[in-house]
Amino acid sequence: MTTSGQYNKTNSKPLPGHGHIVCHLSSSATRPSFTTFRASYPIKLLTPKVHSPYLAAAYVITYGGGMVSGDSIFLSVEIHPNVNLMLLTQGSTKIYKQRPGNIFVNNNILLNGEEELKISEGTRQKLNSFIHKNALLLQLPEPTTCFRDADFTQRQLFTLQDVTSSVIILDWFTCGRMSRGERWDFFKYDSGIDLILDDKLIFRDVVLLMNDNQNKLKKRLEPYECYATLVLYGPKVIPLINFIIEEFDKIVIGKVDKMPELVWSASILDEKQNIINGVVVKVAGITTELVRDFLVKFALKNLKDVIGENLFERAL
Amino acid sequence: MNNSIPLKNINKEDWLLWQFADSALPTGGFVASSGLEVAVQSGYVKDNDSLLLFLSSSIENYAYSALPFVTDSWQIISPTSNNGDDDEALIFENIIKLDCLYESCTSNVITKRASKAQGVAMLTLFSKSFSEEFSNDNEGKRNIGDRIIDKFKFEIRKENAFGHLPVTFGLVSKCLGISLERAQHLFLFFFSRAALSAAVRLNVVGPYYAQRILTECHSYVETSLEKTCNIKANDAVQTSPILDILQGRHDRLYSRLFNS
Repeated sequence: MTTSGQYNKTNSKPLPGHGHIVCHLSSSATRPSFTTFRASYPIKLLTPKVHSPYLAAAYVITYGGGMVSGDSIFLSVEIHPNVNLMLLTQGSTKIYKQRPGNIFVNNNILLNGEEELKISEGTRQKLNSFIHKNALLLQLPEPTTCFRDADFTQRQLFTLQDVTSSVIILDWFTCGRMSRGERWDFFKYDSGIDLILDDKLIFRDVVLLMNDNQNKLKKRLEPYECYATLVLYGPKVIPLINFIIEEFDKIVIGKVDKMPELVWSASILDEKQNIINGVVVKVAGITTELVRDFLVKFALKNLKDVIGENLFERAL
Repeated sequence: MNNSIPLKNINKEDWLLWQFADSALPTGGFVASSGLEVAVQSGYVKDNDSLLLFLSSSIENYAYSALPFVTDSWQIISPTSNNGDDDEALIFENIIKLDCLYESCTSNVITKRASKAQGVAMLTLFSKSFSEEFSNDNEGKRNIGDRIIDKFKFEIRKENAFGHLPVTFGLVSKCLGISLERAQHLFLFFFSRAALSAAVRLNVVGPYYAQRILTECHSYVETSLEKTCNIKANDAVQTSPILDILQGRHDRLYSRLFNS
């Protein structure tokens, strides 16, 4: 009885909008396995076949390829020692417009009472991840695209067990549905990353873009259509970190009259006694493709050595 | 006599504000351009319109990202704080925590460097110019502030703390008896003035026109304060990704006048 009760508890369907992933590697094995891999509407999890040793991958998908106002999703991820786990999305995450006066409430969420109703005023996405010793998390989604009047809030928490844990975090967004002439027409984009090591917050980056006055936001973000923040931390990605810092230090800026098509900066993260552990890269481009090229062909090109050519191409 | 005390305090606050607003105040702000130099050289600021856009976005960004630390820091020493050792240890611990949080929230090394240099200058200014005058005044509050600032400076020297400007500014204004509202205004005024004084030295605008624009900045500061005066440090955010990128490139300038 006890066993079956426990079984139900751990494997029962997660709460609406919740997803759980636990990835494990038994000693002597080289192929990681998912000990937990489940999610409820509107999240769907898929795992592609992966042939590189120690590596696993998961696609985090939302039904219909997007989220509307009222959708609230929560994903928890735990990566056991020696596993490299890659989280991907299929196509950009589309955030549809808010529905004023007619808040979309998923039937299941309604059951959870008033507090959930309050949350449902916008689209919310939360990720909690725990990265054990010698493990690596690669959070490499496609960019978020907020459509006209969308109201989006995202928080991502990455906890590193110790200095042997590593992480790559990509958080990027575009100006909207360009095919319909939407440029920076969303209501709110609010996205934050917390990186924790040994119970200490070592890095926080929160970007808030509010359209109190439409022209102002547009004017402020133009001429760029895509912005990205890339964080790399830990021993498994040190070659990539060093490469980025060396390349950035080579830049020499002379006086110009026009902003470049792509602009980026790199800041060293958590430098102690001249030991570099991480880097934060911020980049803006006049097209999403320019930013993607910067990531694939430049900043992350040595990722091939970590995850293998095949999956690298699928990633971005 | 009793009636004259509040009046005296109000005058003292005004007087201190004038001192603080005077560009002769030695806080080292003259080496900071608030990101303007790199914005000019990169072609982001090239005329009056783009200068105004730069000012309104950078003031708002600073109000969302740094001002919450001024607010929290100002509130750490409460009117009920006494001279007890426990109280003092707790206050000091909270200041160090706030200082560390600002360090974690600021990825940009140039912003960090400017903030530390000016923050430490603010503490030195307090110790050298103001602490003695107040040390025997008004039992309790100011004494505790004096001691905390000394301890803070000591920890910064030992590299156990950073001394970021928003934290030291909030602390020093509290110790000097400046109200929270005025400290918040002053903090954003400092920022605006630094940017405009840099604009004059970078030959973007002339000195008369700079004053006209500084007057304009009042409305940017007011609009920003309406939205940010109650934000806690834990909820601080960045609102201008482009300025963050540009500021991060400052050290890559081939020739430069300013430190940030």
